[in-house]
Amino acid sequence: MGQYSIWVLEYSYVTNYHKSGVLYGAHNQGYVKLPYCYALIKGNGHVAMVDVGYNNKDYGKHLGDKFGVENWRSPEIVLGEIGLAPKDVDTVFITHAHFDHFGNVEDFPKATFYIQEKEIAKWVWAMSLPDRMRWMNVAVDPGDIVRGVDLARQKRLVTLDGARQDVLPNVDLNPAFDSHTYGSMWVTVRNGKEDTWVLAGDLVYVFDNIEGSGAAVDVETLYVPVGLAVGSQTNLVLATEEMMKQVNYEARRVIPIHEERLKDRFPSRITKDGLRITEICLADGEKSRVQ
Amino acid sequence: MADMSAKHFFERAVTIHRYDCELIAAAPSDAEGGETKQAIENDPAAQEAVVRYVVAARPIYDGLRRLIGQVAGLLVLAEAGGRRDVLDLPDIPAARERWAEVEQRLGALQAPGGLEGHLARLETAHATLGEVLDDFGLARLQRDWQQHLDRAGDRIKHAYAWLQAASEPRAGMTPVDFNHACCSCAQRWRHQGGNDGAIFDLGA
Repeated sequence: MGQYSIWVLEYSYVTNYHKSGVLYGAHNQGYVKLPYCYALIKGNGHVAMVDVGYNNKDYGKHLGDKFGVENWRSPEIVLGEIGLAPKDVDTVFITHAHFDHFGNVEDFPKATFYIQEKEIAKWVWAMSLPDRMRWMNVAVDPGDIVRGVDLARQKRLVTLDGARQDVLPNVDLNPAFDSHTYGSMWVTVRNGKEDTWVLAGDLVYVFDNIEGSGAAVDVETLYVPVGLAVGSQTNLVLATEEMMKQVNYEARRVIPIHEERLKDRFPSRITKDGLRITEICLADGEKSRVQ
Repeated sequence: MADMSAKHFFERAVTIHRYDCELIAAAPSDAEGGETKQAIENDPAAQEAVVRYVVAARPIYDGLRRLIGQVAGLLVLAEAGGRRDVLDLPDIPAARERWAEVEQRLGALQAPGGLEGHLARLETAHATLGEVLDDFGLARLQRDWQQHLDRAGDRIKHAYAWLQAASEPRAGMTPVDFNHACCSCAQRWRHQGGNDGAIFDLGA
C-alpha cells in the first residue's frame, strides 16, 4: 500500500502486430496482440495520466480499416470504468509525441500537460528535413502539435529541459533522449520505501524488452530494445538500465503499457467493451476497481 | 498505372475530420458528386488524369503537412517557454523557403475536371500558412511579439483544418505518416494476404 494507485487502461488494440515492431530483431516471428493503453495515477489529491491516447474522430476509421486498430473507446468510457471522468484529470505526462500517446489532449480540459522540450524541438527539426529523410517524422500528427499551441497559449503545456523531481509529490519525470523518440521520458512513482513503480511509455513495449532470452550469449536474460527507435537502441538499453536501477532491478515494477500479458502479472478485468483494466497498485484506503 | 479501382479515389469518406468540422459542411467538389464520378469511372483517359494529379499533389500535401507541424512546433516552443529567441532560429527562414517551394509546385499543378475543389483546399492551406509565416516576421520585428504569435496560433489551426479537408487516405494523403509507426505496422490487408484495391495507396 502507498500514496498512489496506478491503473493501466486499455482504450483500443491491434490484434495482429508484427513482433519485430516490439522486439528488436524478432524478424519473421509472427504477430502479437498490441494493446493501446494509457496509465492513470491517483493519490495525494491528484488524478494524473501518463499519455492520453489518440482521437478517434480524426483518423480512427482510417486506422481501423488499414492498420487493424480495433475497438477504440473514449476516455470518458475508459475512465468511467474506474469511477473517474476526463475532467477529473489535473495532470498529464506525455511520454512522447506519437499520435497514439499525444493525440487526444482536447478530451482533458482541466489538465496541465508535461512534455520534454527536446521532443518538440527535434520534431520541428525532423519535419524540416528533405523528403528523402521523412522516415524521421513518422507517427507524428501535425494536428497534435497544433493543439499543443493552444495548450501553450492557455498556459497548460509545460516543456521540460531534462529530469523533474517531484512534479507531483513523489512523482518524477526522467528523460531518455534520442531513444524511441528524440525526447521520450518515463514516469517514476515513489510510493514508499522499496515501493517504486516505473511507467515506461514506449521505452519498453513488452516484458521481453527487459527480460529477453539471453540463451544465445549464455546469460539468463538480457535487455532487448523495442523495434522502433528514431534515436538509438543503445540509448534504449541505457534507459532500461536506469529504470531498472530505480526499482532495484525488480522487473515487474517497470510497467510496459503495450504488454498484453500485464493481466497475467497484475489483477485485471475485462470491461463490457472488451478492454482490459490492470491494477498495478492501490493507495491506502483506495478500493479495487478490478474485483 | 490506373485501373478500374481508380474509383476509390472518389469514395471520400470523411474519416479524418472531426464530426463537427465546418469544412465537412462545404459543398463537395464535382468529382465527389455522383455524375462526375460516374463519368470518370467510364473514361480511362479521365482516370489517367486523376492519377497524374494525385502523383503531383501528394508531395504538395506532404510538404504542407510537415510545414504545419514544423511551424506549430516553433509556436509551442515560443509560447510554452515564453522564449522570444525562437523567432531568431534559422528554422523560420528555412520554413519560408520550403513554403516557396510548395508554392512553385502548386503553380504547376493542374486539377482535372472535378478535382478543382481539392486543389483549392491545398491552395488555401498554403496561403494560410503564408500568413502564419508573415506573423512570425512581424513578431520578430515588433515589441508586441506575443500578440503576433497569438494570431499565428489562430491561423495555424485554420491551415491545419484546410489540410485535413484535403486529406485522402486512399491517395496516401493523411495527416499522420503511419509508415513504420509503432502503432501501425500491422497493415491488415498485407498480413491477410489481400489487397483492398486501392490503386492510389502509394505506399502509405
